Amino acid sequence: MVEILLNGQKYEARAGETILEVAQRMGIDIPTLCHHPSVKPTGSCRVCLVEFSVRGGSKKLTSSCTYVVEPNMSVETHSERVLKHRRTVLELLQARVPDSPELKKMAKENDVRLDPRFPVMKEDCILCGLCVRVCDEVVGAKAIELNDRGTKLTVGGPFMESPEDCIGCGACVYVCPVNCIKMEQTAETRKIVKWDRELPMRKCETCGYPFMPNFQVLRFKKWADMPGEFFKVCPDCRK
Amino acid sequence: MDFTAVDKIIEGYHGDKTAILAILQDIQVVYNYLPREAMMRVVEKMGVSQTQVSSLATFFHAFSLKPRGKNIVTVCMGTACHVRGAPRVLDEIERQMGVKNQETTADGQFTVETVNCVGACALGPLVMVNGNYHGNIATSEVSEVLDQYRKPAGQA
Repeated sequence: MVEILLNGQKYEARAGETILEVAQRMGIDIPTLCHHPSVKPTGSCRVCLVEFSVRGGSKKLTSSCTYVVEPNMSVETHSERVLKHRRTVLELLQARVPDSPELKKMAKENDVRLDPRFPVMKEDCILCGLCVRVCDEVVGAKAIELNDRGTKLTVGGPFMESPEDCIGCGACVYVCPVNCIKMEQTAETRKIVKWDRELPMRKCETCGYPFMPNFQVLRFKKWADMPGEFFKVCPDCRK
Repeated sequence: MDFTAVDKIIEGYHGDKTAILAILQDIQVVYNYLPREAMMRVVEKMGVSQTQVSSLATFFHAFSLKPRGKNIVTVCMGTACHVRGAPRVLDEIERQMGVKNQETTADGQFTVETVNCVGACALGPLVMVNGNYHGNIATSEVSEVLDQYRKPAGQA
């Protein structure tokens, strides 16, 4: 157990826990975008910034999702300095992605100024990399990646082409904090629009519902060594 | 594409998946760039994902995904070289080669590139050709240096 001061209150944190994890457990609201409990944190969106000091030392800003608690630590999650920097981060993100309802809501909640000081880029993605981590760590498909770096950074399939290893599971669609990855599904195909990946669907042999892409079945068989019959009917008819 | 050279490089690393970067570097030494087929061979033989190879190959500026010339002319654009006239040297090289930065001459002899410091600031402005340093270079000396790397007339 590690005892820490969180906004002046004493809390018992578990060793190895991050500041964000403790705060969330204690009901302190720290905004996040690129964080998801199922994947390792990378601290790329920077909105979960907090201020901390150890043993009364100098106060530093850090991303709470990546910083593991240490003894004699005092953390401020909503100090003036934290709020100021969080506003700047959100202002920059909004300048990059001006039309996201999720970002607009977060900006409003954090009193971000409405007249942007930065050039507006009209992008739809904040390049947080959460979709990449989920595809790698949770799904295991490793289909998408962050390409290049710095101002040229993009997200997508290998060599900036449509990802051949994408199984069309839609996990990236689900986790994207700004909802910029869209999925279009018909009775015949499923398309992940952002990756330009279109896959024919498999229909349930019992009820006829198109329940998963054929390619996903192929990959599941390869990964899990499942019998082919298992994927002939949809999960609802399998019972 | 003949994979003999690529396979030999891959075998040299005994399946060590942390050696992908080193493998790509070795491949670039052979081809002067990273051919897509060679990278796909690495994916296949090493059992890594396409994304792993691609993210490394696109992240590092030292890798080229486009075919490059036989000779790589790298103009240092670091601060020290910059203030000592590196932009003029680059202009002169581009003019003599008839290509822009990041481009390859039509005969496939030279590729012009820039780099943001080679760590030899005392020698600025500096041009590196195939890893050979040409320091304190003046625009008037550019043609002389490049001639050293041109194929002698009459030789294939």
